[in-house]
Amino acid sequence: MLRPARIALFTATAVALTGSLAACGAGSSSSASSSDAFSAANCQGGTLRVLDSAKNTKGFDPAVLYTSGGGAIPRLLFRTLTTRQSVAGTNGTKVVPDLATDTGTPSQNATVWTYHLKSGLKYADGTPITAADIKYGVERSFSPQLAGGPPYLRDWLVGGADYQGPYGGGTTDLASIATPDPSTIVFHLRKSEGDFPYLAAETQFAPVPKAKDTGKEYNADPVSSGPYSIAGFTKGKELDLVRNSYWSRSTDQQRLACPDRIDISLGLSSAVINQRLSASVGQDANAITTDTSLDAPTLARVSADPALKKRVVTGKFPQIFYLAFDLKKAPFDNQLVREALSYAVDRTALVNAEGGTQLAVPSTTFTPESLTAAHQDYDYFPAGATGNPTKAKQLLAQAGHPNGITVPLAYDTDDVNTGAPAATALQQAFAKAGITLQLQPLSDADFNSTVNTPATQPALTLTSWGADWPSGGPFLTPIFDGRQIVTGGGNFNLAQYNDPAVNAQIDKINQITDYTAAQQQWAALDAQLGKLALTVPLYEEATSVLYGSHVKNAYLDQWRGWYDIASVSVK
Amino acid sequence: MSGHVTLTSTEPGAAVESAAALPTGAQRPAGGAAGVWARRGGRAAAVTVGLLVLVALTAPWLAALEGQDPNSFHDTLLNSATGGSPNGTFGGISAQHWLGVEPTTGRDLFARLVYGARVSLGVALGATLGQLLLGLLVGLAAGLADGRRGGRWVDALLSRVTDLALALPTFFFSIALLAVVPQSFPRPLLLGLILTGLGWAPIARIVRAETRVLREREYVAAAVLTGAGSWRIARREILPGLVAPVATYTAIVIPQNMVAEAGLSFLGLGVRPPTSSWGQMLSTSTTWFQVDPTYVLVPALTLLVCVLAFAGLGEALRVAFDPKSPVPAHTRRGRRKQAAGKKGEAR
Repeated sequence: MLRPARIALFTATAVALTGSLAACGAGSSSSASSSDAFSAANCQGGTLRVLDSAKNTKGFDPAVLYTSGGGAIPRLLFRTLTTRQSVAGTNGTKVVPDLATDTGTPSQNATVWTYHLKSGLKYADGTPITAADIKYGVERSFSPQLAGGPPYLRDWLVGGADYQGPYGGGTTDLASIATPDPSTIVFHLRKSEGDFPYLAAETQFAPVPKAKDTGKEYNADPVSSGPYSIAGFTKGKELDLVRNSYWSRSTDQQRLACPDRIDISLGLSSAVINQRLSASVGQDANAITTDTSLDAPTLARVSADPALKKRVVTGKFPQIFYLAFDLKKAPFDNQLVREALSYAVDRTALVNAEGGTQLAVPSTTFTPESLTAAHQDYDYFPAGATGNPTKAKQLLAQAGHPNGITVPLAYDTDDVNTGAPAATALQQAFAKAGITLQLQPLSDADFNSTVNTPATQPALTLTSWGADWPSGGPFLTPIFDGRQIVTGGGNFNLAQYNDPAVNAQIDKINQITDYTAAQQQWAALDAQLGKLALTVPLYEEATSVLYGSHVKNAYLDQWRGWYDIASVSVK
Repeated sequence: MSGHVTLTSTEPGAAVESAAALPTGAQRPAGGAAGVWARRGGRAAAVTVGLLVLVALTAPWLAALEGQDPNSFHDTLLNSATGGSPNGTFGGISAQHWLGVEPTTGRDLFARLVYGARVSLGVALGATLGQLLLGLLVGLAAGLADGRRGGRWVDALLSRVTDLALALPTFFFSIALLAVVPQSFPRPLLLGLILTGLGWAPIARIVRAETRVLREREYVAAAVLTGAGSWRIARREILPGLVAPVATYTAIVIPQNMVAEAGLSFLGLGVRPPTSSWGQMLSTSTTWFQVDPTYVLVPALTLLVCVLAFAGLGEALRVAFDPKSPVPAHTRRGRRKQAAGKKGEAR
């Protein structure tokens, strides 16, 4: 829960290179392309090409990867205890068993989680996968030399805060993970976490055979448990995957693994990727991308061409773009001023600045509509489509600012989404309400260090937030839990909001292990916090991506808003 | 009177002629401004440059004439479903928006273009002025330093510093500098300063070479004999002789600076939003070239015309100051007529 969406999304896609094959089983053949209809039973064969812009992928060590739901490409190499459901649509946000027989059995108020492994699981070298290997995989991720994964394990597991991994001297074993027999693994948490099954979909829960572990070198040639293994990898240039003959659909309901080979080109420019996908000539007809979406101009061009338009799919990663107030700083300590800004906002201009209605959708709620289960609609300060400057002025006068206010607005210049276009659109809309925005552009590195450190945080920030998995918990907790305020940096509770009643409410919801019930509570909490105008929710983003003309069963999963490679077929 | 020094004059004869300031005007076409005006290309370039400067100066009135301002958004002029591209043909050109509107914002392109002229021309002219002052100062100091009072060391030192500045990869250096200076520093001023700091060296070199030639002249020696100080000599005896090469070089440097500003803005290191400059407009428009060509052509053509005009002006100045260049056609014709008149022939 400590990760802004931007980062999570990036790593998800970089990792997505290693992708995931989902056995759609249930029925996920949404946007199939071209000639014959897609059939899961008869989809094997061919070479899938992946055109990606990521060039810094260092390798694939399951301990180091920071993915959302296992990522795209990592999910082709690593099976985890649980995984995301490979179907198009809302059900794609559900967590389902992968190596385990179920999504976990909670006990003692969701502080103990027990998993049983399926039988017949094997690595790419034919050796069987055991519970001890999963325990070892989790333990490795605590090693300082393999840092990079999500922070939750260290926070949640008993003794996790001080554990240094299996390599160093002293205790090399984490006692809070028990393996009573080769197919059972038990996790002991220091607090209730109803969302544990969602965390168990991360690559840290992939099995690593201790005998094959080479520490930092493991990322070059990890032992595959998924449907593919690495045949060749040149950093920044290409990655070739071939079938793992020991993987079988009979134990894996989430990966179809249709292509025989997957050839991934890295480090291409986004213009080249979109041009090649739209031309779809030769081998590019069998191509997709896992990290390059359509920008506004390309979208405008594609929209004008019916043949191309058919090869565009759209999805959403639940992420909200919003204005963050620092409640400790004037004038935002006054709720009336915060409400005034909420009324003054012109969401139509913002959506256009992002590239129009196909790339962004206005949102008046902090938890966006795409996080369906945890979403409750509200609009306490109705700004209409283009803002209500009159009402805003009136509120400002009421707050003692009859002549308007001048406030700085920090934004991230390197972020194409929350960068200059959105900031300029806000500046124009706010000017009509007597609010003068002084734009404070910050480069990506500066932005993170300045904004996420309370001492240097500006009074008003344009930023975004997404969750590592589709649940209200990781969406709301880092932003509104007062105990999550970090003074040293890495703080995401930008409002510096700390209400013991709300903190207690969060703890209570974390004890709920029923997904739907928990999400309803998160939604109610969001609606309750919305009345305080702690943020101004602006819009959520949509991703539009092209695929080659021979590609079938290409859809964007709703967990991450990107292609589910495990389901794509080129036959 | 100081009309005859070529840009790279090293030929003592030519320099003597110019420096001696002989009343040669009668036999030669007019140098300087008049010389430029006498040539058709020079005249066209000068008029274009004048117009562009006028546009920059009168930007608010021009925008008011159109009835628009550079920063207002117009949601209704865009098609939000197709990436926010402008409605209508040619990028949304209409009676209200003479050059169309910007995709995704609907801001008026004519207003942004005329306001952008202020930044683009301002930065280019300001940087050129700065380069000129610094280049003259260093060049004169190095050129006038003589052997008697340790001046050789001064010359050597300044010359090496100039060489160093010349060797710097200007563009990459500007990028590095722009990236480290805090964002709160006024951007146009920063751009001007950086371009100045990186572009003065060629001028210094030309000035030094020219000064070394000029200071060997009899009239300078005479001034030294009368006991005139270095500053007076520099100002009264040397500077007039430098006007021609420096003026010519300046006109060549202005478009270079303008392109540099555009290049840096293109990389996102130029002016900050919502300010417009031609480089910024070009930078944001490039990705739209297939969908909305008007959007790209407007800043691109403006920059092209502007750079051409300044380059033309530079060339005209060079020709006007060059004693070896042919006399302009119409002047020649006039003279021939005169001659013919003397001879009493009709044609």
